[in-house]
Amino acid sequence: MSIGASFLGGAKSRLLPPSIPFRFFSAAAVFHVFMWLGLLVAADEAVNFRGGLGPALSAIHLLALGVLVTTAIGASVQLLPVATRRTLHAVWPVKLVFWLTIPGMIAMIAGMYTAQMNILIVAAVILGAGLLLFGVLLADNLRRASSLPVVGAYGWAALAALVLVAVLGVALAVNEEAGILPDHGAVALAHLVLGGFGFMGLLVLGFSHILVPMFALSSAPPKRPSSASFVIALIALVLGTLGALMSNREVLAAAALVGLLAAAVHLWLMYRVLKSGMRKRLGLSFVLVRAAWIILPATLLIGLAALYGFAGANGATLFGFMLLFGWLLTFLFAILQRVMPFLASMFVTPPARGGTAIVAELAGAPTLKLHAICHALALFMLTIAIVLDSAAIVRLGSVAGLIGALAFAWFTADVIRRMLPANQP
Amino acid sequence: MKFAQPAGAPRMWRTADAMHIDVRDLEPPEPMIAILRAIDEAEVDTALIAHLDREPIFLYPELDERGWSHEIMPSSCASPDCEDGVMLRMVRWGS
Repeated sequence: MSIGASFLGGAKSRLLPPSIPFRFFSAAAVFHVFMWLGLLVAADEAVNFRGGLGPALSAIHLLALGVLVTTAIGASVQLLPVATRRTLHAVWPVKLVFWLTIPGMIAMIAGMYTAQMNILIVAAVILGAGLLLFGVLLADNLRRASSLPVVGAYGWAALAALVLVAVLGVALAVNEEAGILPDHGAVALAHLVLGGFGFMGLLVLGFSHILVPMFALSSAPPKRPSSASFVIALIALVLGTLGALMSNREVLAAAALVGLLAAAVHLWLMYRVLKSGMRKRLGLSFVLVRAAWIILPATLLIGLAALYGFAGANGATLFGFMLLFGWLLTFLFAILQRVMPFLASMFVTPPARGGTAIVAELAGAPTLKLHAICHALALFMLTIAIVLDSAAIVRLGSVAGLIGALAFAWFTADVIRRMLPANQP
Repeated sequence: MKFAQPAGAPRMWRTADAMHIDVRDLEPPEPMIAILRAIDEAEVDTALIAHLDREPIFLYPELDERGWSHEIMPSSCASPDCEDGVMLRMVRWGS
C-alpha cells in the first residue's frame, strides 16, 4: 500500500464501514412501513389516543423507537465522529448496540401490542442495555470533542433526556401491573416531552447546526445566538417536564411560550444560514425540512391551545401527533434522503466519478417524490381525522403513509444496491 | 444582529505549483466552505492544495460538480495516525 493510500485508510477510518449506518437506516425504513400498518390496524383507538397498552401504543413506539431513535443512533454514530474529528475506538460496540436495541424494540412493541408484561419487562432490559451502551459511545465522543461547543451542549442535554425518558418509560411499564405511579397520565406526558422535545428534539436542533450549513454550503450559525437558542430550548424542556409531572397548566403554558421563543431563534438562525448559503436550489429534501420548520412552532401552539381547551376534544392527541409525525418524522426523513446517497458515494470505488453519479441520480428519485407526496397527504388526513374524531379517515391517511413508507424503503434498498461492488459504475 | 463571518479565517499562500489554503482548526463545515469559496470566487487558477485536519469527505461531490479532480497527498509522517492532518490536491479538469 502506498503512503498516500495508507494515510487515506487512516483518514477514512472516521467513516464506519457502510454496513454499520445502513443497518440502522434499513431497520428504520422497515419499522416505518410497520408503523403505518400498525396505525391502520389501531385506527379506532389511535384517533383519540391518551395512553395505555395496546395496538395504538405499539404503533406510536414503532415510530418513536423504531423509526426516530434508530435513525438518530445510525446518524449519530456515523456523523458525530466525522464532525468532532474523534474516531470511535472500535466498531463492535456499535454492532452490539444494534443487536441489543433492534430486538429489544421489536420485543417491546410486541409486548405493548399484546399487553404482555413479561415480554415488556424483558424487552425493557434488553433495549435499556442497548440505549445505555449507545449513551456511553455518544458521551465518549462528546467528551473528547472540544471544537463544537454548541453541538456538544445539545448532545449532552439529549443524552440526559434519553436517560430520563428511559427511566420514565420503565416506570410506566411497571405501573401497568404494579400501579406504583400516583398519576400515570402525568408521567406519560413527561415521557413524551422528554422523548420528543428532549432526546430527539435536541439532537435535531444540534445536528442542524452542522447539517443545514453543510447542505446549503454556508457558514455555521454564530456561537452567541446559537448558545442562546440552546439555553432557551433547555429551559423550555425543563419547564415542560416539570409542568407535565406536576400536572400544572401554568407551568406547561410557560414551557410552550419559552419553547416558541427557542423555536423562533432557531428558525431565524437557520433562515440566515440558507440565505447566506452558496447553494440556493436545495431540492426536495429541503421542501420537507421547511415543512418541518413550520410544524415545530405549530406543534407548540397546538399544545398551548390544548391546555386551555381550544384545540378540540382530541387536542392532546393532535399535539403528540404533530410532534412525532409532523416535526420529527418529516425532518428526519428529509435529512436521511440527503445523507444516505452522500454516504453511499463515499463507499463507491473509485469515489470520484461514481460517487457523484449516485448523489445526482438519487436526488430526484421518483420514490422520494412519491414518499413526499404520500407523507404530506398522510399528515393532512390524520390531522383532519383527529380533529373530526374519524377512524375511517385515520385508515385512509395510514394507507397514504404506508405507500410513502414503501417508496422510502425502496429508495433505501436502491441506495444500498448501488454500493454493492457488482453494481458500481 | 449582523451575521458575521467566523473568527478563524483560512490562511492562503502561493507556491510555484499551486495555491495553498490552510483550513486546519476551523470548525465544520468551515473547511469545506472556505475551499469552495476559493474555487468559486476565482482565487485559484488551476491547482489548489488544502491543508486539513481530516479528509473532507463531504467536499468531494462538490468538487466533482465544479469540474475539479482531487487526490490525497502523502503526509509528512506517513502514518495513518499522523497528527499533521491531510493534504488534498485539487486540480481543475482539463488543466
